[in-house]
Amino acid sequence: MNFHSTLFVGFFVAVYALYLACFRLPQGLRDRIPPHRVQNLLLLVASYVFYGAWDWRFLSLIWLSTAIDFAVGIGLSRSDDPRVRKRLVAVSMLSNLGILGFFKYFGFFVSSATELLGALGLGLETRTLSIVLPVGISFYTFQSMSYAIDVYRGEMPATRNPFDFALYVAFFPQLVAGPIERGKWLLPQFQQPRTVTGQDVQTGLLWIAFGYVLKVGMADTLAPLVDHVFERPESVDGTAALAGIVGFTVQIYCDFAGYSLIARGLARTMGIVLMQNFRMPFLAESPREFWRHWHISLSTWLRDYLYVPLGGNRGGPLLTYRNLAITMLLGGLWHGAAWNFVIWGAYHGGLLAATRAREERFGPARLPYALRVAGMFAVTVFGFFVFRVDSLEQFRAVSGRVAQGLTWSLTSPAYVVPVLTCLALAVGYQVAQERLGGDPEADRLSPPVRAAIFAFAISTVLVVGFRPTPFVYFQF
Amino acid sequence: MRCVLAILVGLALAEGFLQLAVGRVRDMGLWFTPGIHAPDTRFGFVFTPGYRGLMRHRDRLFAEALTLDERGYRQPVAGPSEGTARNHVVFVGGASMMFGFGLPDALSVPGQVARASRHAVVAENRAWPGQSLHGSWVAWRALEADREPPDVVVVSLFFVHQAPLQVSADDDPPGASRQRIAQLFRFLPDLVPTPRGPVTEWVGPPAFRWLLIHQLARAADPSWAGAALEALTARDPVAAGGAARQANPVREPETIPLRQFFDSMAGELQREGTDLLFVTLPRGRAPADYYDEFLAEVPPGFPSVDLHRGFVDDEVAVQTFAAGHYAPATAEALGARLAHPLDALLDRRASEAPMESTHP
Repeated sequence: MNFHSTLFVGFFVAVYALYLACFRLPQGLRDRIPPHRVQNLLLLVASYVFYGAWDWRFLSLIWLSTAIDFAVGIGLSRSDDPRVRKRLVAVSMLSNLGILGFFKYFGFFVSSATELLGALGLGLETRTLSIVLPVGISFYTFQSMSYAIDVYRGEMPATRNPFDFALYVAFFPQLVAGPIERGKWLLPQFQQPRTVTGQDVQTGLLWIAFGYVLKVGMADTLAPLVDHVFERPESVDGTAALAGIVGFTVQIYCDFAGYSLIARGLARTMGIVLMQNFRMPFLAESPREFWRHWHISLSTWLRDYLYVPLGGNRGGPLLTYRNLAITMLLGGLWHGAAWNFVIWGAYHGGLLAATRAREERFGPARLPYALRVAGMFAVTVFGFFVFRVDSLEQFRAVSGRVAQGLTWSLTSPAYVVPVLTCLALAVGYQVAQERLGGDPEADRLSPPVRAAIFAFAISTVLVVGFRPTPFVYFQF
Repeated sequence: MRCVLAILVGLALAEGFLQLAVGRVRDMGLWFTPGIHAPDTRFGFVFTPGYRGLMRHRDRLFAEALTLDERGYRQPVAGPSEGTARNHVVFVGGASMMFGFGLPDALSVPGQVARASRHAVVAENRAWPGQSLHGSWVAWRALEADREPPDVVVVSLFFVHQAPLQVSADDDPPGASRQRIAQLFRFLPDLVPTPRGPVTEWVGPPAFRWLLIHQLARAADPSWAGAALEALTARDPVAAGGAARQANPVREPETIPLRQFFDSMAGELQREGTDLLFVTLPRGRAPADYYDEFLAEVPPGFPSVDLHRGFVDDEVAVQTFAAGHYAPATAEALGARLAHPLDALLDRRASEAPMESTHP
């Protein structure tokens, strides 16, 4: 059940109507069961229905992850023995990473090892299991695991309500592609009575509307154009190939930021605030700034649960570079079981380390702002080019087209104009984020501006319509 | 009031965005960039003289530049052979296969023939997509009645658009294909393969080309699409004539036997001193004898080449792209195979007429 489907729209309208009805429960019932508890149960059932619509069999994985981390949390709350606590948190990490590793990386490691042995002349006949990747597994395992680690660190108390915790793991707006929430932020919102204000509803609808523009109007529009350039590079010239490469960066931003914005908007209409996942990434001036603004929930997760435990920047320059490289390498691998993701992670790890080394030696860059932003955008585009290709041959073929030179032909506008239009709109939205301090709150915009945005978004989505193009990050 | 104005601004911005981003990508769903067809009171429609646009196919955002000449035909391709005297070879029939949908002029079958021939050949492609052999012939004779006769006419057949043994006697070029392209809307927006129903973004008065107005109005009321046609025909008498002719065929096209058609064709060309070569174009997995009935109707004494049988016998796979049209490799193979009998014909002409060519 994709966000951009009429099935989901109907599903959400029904769930939301019931959700609001919970505020009007009879007084006698409300005295016995607070409305937010009923709402939590409703959202939990809805979340399992939402996920089960993809493949009900994989619900068992969510339940397993939920049960283990809930039990670990309870265990941690009852024990002060450091050894027991360590063992408990290790159980959480091993089980979550085990589930993730088996379903996401088993085939990749077996095939890579087989290829390596084959290259060394030690050919082996292997029968790799064909394993289906459950949707959202990378997101909910990380989210569930972070709860156990936070409780272990004493940063939050363990919850004793299994339904609240189950909802924290499975909350449908962010279940399959994030943002990867933290227990200390989201759980209290489930545990306390909630209100839904007009401001919440208006802001939520505003985010949903613009999220659909990003996904349906922009990402899905660019998808066939980008696919064509990468699948049939021999049929395009250098200008179209470059437009396709830039277009993928714009596409993946619009796709993922669109999903995140819809998720935030859905939650917000219910009075629940999810963390911001993208904030002006195309206006970043350096790799470090880029990672503060791109997929924020993952980059902060990696920082808090990987980079800092590795030693962060506390062990001198060389250890810092090593920690950056390891963190980004694993961050790349998180995206998928393929070498292009590993290389993409290593590329960004190298960029972060190199930038840090340069700044320590020469100080901050003194280039004009526009040049710094343009330079970082070019670096980002190249990174996503590596991210997108599925083989060295494809990389050579597409880059070879660009290397042949940029000429303007009759076909050029069909590639360049949509990419530049979507890029301009994406940058415009990011500038608005910068001015308004984040995704725009309804009360920060005047009624005419809100009306214009709604008119723009609704009419665009109605004209373009929902297409069955899945979200890019669903595959991760 | 301010909110109403703001909504209008939002709608205008949406229209601008849709035109720039979505419209351009969705345009790739058309066979051609808009405007390749023009309504015509005599023929129903013609290919726009001087058209400059793209051939496209929705499958893969495939796109190739296309320029038509002052008559609506593809550009001639001159072969590499040296010599001031050029042999003009005209290719009629074969629909979009001979037209070379998706291929630049030089890589279409006629272009490949010009390249492979030993003689100095100028290949003039007179095939039209969606056009029967009869339609192609009649249109060429009508549109180029005043031109000097060519040296050779290659008559090619691709059965997809016509009954095997008879052709339309109507002098309307759409001929048999008129039944397939029954309505003005089906071809005017150059949208034959798009299964989205009548789309009027590309035709009619400017208001109908506003994506926002058009799509939302059509979503609200499907009959809106018909309003575009009415608006178009009300203000454009040529379009009105074309629409009437296309939408209301008053009679079934009369037909004549294929032999009779070939005889009249051969007679006309012989009187002009033009040689004639009949060829069949390969059709995927059809059996080797697929064109036998057709070739049996070729008048005695005229050369014919069964390229389809050649491909089947030699087990050469027909490579296609862009909705089943010949891929460059197949067009090249066809050009090479067709060049041999053409060269033999040109050798004979050269030996019979020392002046080599009527075209300096």
